[in-house]
Amino acid sequence: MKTNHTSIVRQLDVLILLPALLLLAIGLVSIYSATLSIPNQSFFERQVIWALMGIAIALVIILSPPRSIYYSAYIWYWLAIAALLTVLIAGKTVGGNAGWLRIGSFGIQPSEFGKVATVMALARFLSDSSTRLNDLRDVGKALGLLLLPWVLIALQPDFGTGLVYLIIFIPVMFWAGAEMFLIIFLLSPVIVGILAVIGLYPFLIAAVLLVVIFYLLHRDLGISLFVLVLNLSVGFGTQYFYNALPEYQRERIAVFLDPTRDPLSAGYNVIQSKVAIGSGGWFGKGFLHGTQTQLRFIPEQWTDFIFCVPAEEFGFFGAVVVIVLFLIIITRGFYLASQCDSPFTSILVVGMVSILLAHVFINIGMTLGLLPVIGIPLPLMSYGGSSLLSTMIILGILLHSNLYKHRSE
Amino acid sequence: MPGMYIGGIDEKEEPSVLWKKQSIRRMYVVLTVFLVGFVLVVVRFYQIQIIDHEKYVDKSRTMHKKRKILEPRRGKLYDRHMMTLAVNIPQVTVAVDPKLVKNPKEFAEELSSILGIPRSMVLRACQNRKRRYIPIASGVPIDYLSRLRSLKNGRLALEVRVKRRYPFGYHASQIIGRLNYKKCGVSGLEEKYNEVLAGTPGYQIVLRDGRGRLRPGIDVPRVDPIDGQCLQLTIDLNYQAIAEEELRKGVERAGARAGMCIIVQPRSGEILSMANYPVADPNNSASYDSIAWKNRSVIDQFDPGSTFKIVTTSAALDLGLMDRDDRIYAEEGTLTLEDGTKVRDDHPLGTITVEEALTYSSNIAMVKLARKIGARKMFEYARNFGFGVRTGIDLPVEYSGSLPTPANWDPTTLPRIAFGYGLSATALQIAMAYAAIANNGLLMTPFLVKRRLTHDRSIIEERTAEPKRQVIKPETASVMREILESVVSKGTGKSAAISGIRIGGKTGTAQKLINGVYTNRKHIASFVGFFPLEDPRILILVVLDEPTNGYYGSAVAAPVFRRIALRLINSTTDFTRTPPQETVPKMSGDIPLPDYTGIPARVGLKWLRLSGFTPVLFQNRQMIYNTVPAPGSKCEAGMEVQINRRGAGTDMNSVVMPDVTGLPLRQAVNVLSAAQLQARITGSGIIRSQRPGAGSAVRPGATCVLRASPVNNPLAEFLRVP
Repeated sequence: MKTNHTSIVRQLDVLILLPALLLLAIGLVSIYSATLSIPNQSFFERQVIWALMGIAIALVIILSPPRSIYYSAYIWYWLAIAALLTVLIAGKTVGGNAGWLRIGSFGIQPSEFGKVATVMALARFLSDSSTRLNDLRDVGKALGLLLLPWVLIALQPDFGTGLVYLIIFIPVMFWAGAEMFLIIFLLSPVIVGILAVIGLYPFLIAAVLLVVIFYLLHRDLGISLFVLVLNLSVGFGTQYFYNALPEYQRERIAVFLDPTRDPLSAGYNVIQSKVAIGSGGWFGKGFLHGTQTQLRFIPEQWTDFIFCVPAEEFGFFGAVVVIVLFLIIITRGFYLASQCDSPFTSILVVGMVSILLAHVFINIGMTLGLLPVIGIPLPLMSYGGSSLLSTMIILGILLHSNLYKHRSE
Repeated sequence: MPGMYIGGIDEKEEPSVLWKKQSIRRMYVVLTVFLVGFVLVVVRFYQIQIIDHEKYVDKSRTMHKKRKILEPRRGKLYDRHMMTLAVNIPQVTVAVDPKLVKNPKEFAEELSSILGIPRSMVLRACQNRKRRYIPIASGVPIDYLSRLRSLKNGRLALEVRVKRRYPFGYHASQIIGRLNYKKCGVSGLEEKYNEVLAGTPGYQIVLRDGRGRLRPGIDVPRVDPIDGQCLQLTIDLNYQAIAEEELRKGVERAGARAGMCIIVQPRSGEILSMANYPVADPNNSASYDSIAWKNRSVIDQFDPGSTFKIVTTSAALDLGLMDRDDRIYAEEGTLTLEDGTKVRDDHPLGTITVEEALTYSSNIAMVKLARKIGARKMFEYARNFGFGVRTGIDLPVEYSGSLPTPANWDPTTLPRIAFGYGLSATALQIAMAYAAIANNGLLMTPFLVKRRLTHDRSIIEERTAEPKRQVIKPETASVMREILESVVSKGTGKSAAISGIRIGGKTGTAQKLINGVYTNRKHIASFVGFFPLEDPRILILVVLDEPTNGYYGSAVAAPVFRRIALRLINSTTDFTRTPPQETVPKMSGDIPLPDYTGIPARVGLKWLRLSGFTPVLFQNRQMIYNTVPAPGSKCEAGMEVQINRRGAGTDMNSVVMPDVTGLPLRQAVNVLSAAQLQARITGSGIIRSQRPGAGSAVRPGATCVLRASPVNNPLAEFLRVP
């Protein structure tokens, strides 16, 4: 069925499109405010250019033929792997991560696009009629699709982006129909690993508890014992590696647990960000009047800590508006996934929404001091071309999927 | 395909229908998890932004708003000729932060070449891994600041502090007083006038950004500091220096424990000098000696002894009980009081006049006069002369001495008081009592601060002479002056005489009261005198505490008076604007004084002696700068010739560099030209530094190099402060 372009535009999902455009606008305004006091810079102008490019790319995706994503999924995936390999071999280091490719005068981070491509490949694989999620070999294949780019990113090293890869795997697997025990099986080493950093007893208790739950769900003693052994080895391994870490890295983790511990170095950003947010009050200090923002207490605020700007200058009200806009997009995204006839589109949409969700939660959690500072941008708002373009691609895919959700494969 | 998705689903349904059913269930699970997270985040925002709002506002404020105290300039102190006695000098404290040092070896080399400190010391500081602030030099002149700021191999932690300095060191230190570490005056005039000198601090709210840089804030209040007022003292630094030097010599010669010397202008009550020995160094804050800091002139109380006899004598004359020529029988040296104690005169006398009674300081005659006067009147006159009451001088501490009221007198009190025992007084009280006689019987309030000035030296307030009361009739005072002249010309004060000038004065030798008993082993020797008698302009009191090498006032104190008086007369200041030739005695000789200026003082001394003069050397080891009388003057054989060397303090031919820093350029040039100095200028605006520095002694007409810079940005001043 041939669809003309105006009717496509008319069919676009307003509940995704409108909040997205609003967030984009709030993001630009925030970048403007955060960089106002820096002389000789063009962050705002450059971000406007990225935004326009992003809109163009999103339009191309929306206007592409119905099943083009399904067919091209693996192509994008391998292209992303190739880009990540190129970066590893001939990358450029910016801000501690060697994840940059230089194209003209713009830097590009392939890891940002790799997330989207990986989700495409996963959706394609998991929706394949021959894939069985109760078969550990197929689960292993899915895990392989995920871990190949993850390893390449971890080698850069970009811990934050790598974490997002791992997190989105869980909802995608769940949506594809994996059993709870499988989720727990996948989750438990992560939980145990984190607890192992805190101490010996928390992780031992958690490991045992998880195995008990696992056994109750799965009733297979052999696999349960395997999970127990796996968890214990992950836990002890983490402890071993944690203690082997250089002191400054251990300090970073310790500072996350207690930011006031070293207010001038590692915990500085979190304290500053909390002060900026906290001093905002109900309605904030007014646009361009945020003292902490304008006096640049938060280093590189226009990237990962952009959320402080609306929170300081527009207060609790501004913060809630931003969160609600994200809430609308994400809720709408999950609803859309539930309405899709095709498992591929459904899983694809869930994956895309999960990427957004992971970014929003980790970034905001980080600015609120709920999570460690791991350098994850806030979609649509943080300064940065790669992040914005990949987000626009995600939105393009969501809007595209919405157009064709009732077509069967 | 059925069976593909596990989870208890009806396997008969169509795949896409089944998928959708499952999807909706999963959506509820995912959304529940998501919404819980969403609520958590919002709750967290509520907690930070609303509940803890105040806490973070406070944090934010302390972070970016800084209340910068704008320190007022503390007022300077000047002597009566505007020589600077106390200034504020900005100094740099230099510390090393090892983390800011790029290249320790070259850094140490660079710094040691600037400051002249050992390289190894800097290097050790740079290699300190534990601390980030290692002080290595303090009190560095502000001139070094720009060089210290622009080191090539790293940055220093620099702190500029304003220090109070006293260019003339120990001179007048007990009067000037000192500051504590909080820059609050704790003694002397610094304490008495602390509020006037200190000024009022202002403040400014400045914004500090995330990198610790200060920025001027918009709409932030600024309250300018109000500078303290400067004080022009009545002290004449030259007199002070002379008094201190001669007092020290007198104390050393007499083997005394301590000494005081006060020079007063009788007409006004202005204190020209107040010297105490031992002396204290105000610029050395490390060692503090409370004994040295004691301003004995207003603190030490002692029985005045014979100097008090003017009260007895003038009371008798003033009441008309006796005339100066009326006769008294002095009992040939011994008078037995009612209680059996004996009053003795050092030189037994028979029948003498009242004038002779004072001239030869007869105790017995005084007892007889006092009996005529009676206890009540005696007390009244003593009190009127200022005994037993504070003089009211503008110092933070002053003792009142003691003068018992007649009700508490026993039968021997009156005869004892008659010759100055049984009461105590401070040196200042004695000086002021004599000043009253010199001032036609009018007792004045002594004071030390003549004017209050702004920093650019315009007058805010001027203090005028404050008469306290007419103690005796002017005629009585006139008679008293003549009697006191005879004390010096033929009586006990002969060793104070300077030929050619009429001096009135009185010696005093008092036994010290130790544990309530007068001892004849410890004495207070004093001499007080004034001149010229016709119109007394200078009154000098010298007190020596416990002289061991002779104890009579006439023997130990009067010569000190004489030396001071001589130097005052011969100096060319206010008082002695009249050429020395007119006042120096015996200028009628016919031997021309050879010109020995420019030769070493030791040699000149010998040559003068060989020429038959009596050279008096005031400072040795230097070239002879001038002599008094001047070379070529017609002199008499054997007369005293004063030899002076170049130098600050006592030599009026050198100029003391005024402090012009902080003044606008034009004003600074004016100040310099008023002091007969040239100015060489770099820059424009406000004077930032001068060389030579304030207080240094220079030749008249010398050039002072001034560095000025404009003040466009009112914040520039503190933005440069690290």
